[in-house]
Amino acid sequence: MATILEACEFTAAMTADVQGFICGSEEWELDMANWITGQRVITAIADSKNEAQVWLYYSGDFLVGFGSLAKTRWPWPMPDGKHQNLAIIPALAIQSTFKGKPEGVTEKSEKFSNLLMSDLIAKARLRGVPGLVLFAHPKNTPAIRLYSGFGFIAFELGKNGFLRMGMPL
Amino acid sequence: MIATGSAGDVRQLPVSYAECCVPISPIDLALSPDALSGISAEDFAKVMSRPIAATTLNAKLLPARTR
Repeated sequence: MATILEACEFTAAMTADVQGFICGSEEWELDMANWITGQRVITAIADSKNEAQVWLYYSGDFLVGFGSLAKTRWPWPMPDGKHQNLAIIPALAIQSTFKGKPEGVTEKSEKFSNLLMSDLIAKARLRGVPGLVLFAHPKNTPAIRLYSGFGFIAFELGKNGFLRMGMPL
Repeated sequence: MIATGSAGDVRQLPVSYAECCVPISPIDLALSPDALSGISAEDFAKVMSRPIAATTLNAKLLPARTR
């Protein structure tokens, strides 16, 4: 059975749609819920410099999760190339109720997390950038496993304590 | 040192700078202009020179939905 998931671009007029978003009680999960339900997401999409976009993912009438993309810059080729744009995933989360395989789904690729990630990667490729990067909490093993499955590899742990991962597009 | 506890039960606990400060969110960090600062050239080159994964090549857009 194919999982039906649709992407709806988030705007400031949709804050009521995300109230009550719950994706877990770990510190990084609380941060995700706080971001999408509060003012920070509005600030992010209003700032044209970072080209941030956020999508809400629905299965029928149910809000399954959200994902986002923004622009970051890095010299490429390293180390002396011109700064050019890369895509970064600032935040993504699946509501607790929808983690794991949806009912009736046998294929791993049909898990909501895989569908959401695949959509974000396809959207990043449409931006015409050479690479996609993200930050992950080093204890967030399920997320790191998900990203690794899509070809992300880890940079060294940053001074800020977050694992930085990236891949070419 | 940081003071904690209720009045009459004030203790001085040794804490590091990192422990007494709210850590920056990775989301906010990702949206900052210097998101990637501190990554070594070798690390970055290692990632970006890698072959593109099949899962990435096969990544598909989900249907768009309007509100």
